[in-house]
Amino acid sequence: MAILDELRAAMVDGQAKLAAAKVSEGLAEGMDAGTLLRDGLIAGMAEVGHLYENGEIFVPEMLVAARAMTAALQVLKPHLVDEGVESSGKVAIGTTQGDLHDIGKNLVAMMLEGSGYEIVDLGVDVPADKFIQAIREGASVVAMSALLTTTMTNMQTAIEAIKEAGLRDQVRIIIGGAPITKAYADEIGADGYAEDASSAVRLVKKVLAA
Amino acid sequence: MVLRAQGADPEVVRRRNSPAVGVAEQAVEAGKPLLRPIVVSESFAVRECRHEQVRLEPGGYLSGPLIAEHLHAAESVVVAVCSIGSNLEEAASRCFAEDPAMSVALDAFGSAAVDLVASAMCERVDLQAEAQGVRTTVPLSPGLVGWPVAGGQRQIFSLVDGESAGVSLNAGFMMMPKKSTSMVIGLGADVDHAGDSCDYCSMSATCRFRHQHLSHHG
Repeated sequence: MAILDELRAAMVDGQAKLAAAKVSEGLAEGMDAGTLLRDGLIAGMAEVGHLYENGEIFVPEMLVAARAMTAALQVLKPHLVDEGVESSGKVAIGTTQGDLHDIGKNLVAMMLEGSGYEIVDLGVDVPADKFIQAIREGASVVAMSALLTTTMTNMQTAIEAIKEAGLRDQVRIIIGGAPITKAYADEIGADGYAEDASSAVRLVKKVLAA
Repeated sequence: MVLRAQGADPEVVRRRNSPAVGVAEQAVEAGKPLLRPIVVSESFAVRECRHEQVRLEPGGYLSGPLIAEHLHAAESVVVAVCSIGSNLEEAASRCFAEDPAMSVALDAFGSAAVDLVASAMCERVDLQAEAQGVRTTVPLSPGLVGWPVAGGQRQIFSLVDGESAGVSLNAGFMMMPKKSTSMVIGLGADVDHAGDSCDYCSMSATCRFRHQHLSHHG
């Protein structure tokens, strides 16, 4: 449909007002909110992520695209609630204990929300028991971020605590951040490692399907 | 500067007429009044180098494989902590929910700004060395390969009063404000002059920001 194509294009080009206008136009023409979300916003963000991972756009362009997505989502949200459209899953995200860096974590949260996931943002300097509480409150994925070699070890501490709490089988755990590698993720028993916000979205989809 | 600090090629982004250009320009204008640049530094004569430890006068030391590699021939060492204060990063955090593009642009401006402060510090040391007729090493910061963060920051903050620059270490040895950097530079007639700090970073092979960082020689 032309409106969906135009909505996706507006998002990729970072045109926030146009993206919001296209959502309004679609709703006015009787399109259901779920279709606009799935085939417009989520598909548009997937395209943005694909372009970023292929090196065809840079982080600032990905961010203005996400800004356009947010503007469009604000128009769509009340209609999603009315239609009872559910999220694709609940993700609890936080920067590990002792670490105060939040930009990377915020980018991942933003991309996941744009892809239809419900986000519980635990903030920074998050101790293990807060991740555990989030799992008890329904998070099916825990995403941990660390930017320092001195704090990344707290990811392992958190995973061990989740195991001791008897919750490891109920949750998928993914990690990321500058000093993190796939090898480290495997070593500490995480379910996956994402090197950037865009691949984090694909990873969450993959681990939830597993 | 802001686009580059986010890993983007400014020329390419401008050619595409992306709204990201406007965001970057707004971040510079909004960020400038929030900068509080400050540097605190001390210079120490080197007493001796033994194994991986460089001992300083009147006391104190720096140690690690990277330290030994670059400072073994140093006659003196400048130890510095640089910061732009916390106003900018606080503004960036506050605005993320409303405008993530602006938030990240402000953060990038802060990274570029503290890098400029550190570069100015390095240039000052270079001029000092030139006046003394000696050379300088590359600037070395904790976290580079061969100088772990925890040990390195403890050593630096025992040698200079970071608090006087408003900079402290948290339990994870992270500097606060976040837009702060610490470094040591060796001076001497026989120090190794060539190289780049990036050469000693574990992420140099994949880093988007390589060769945009700090001062270098060669």
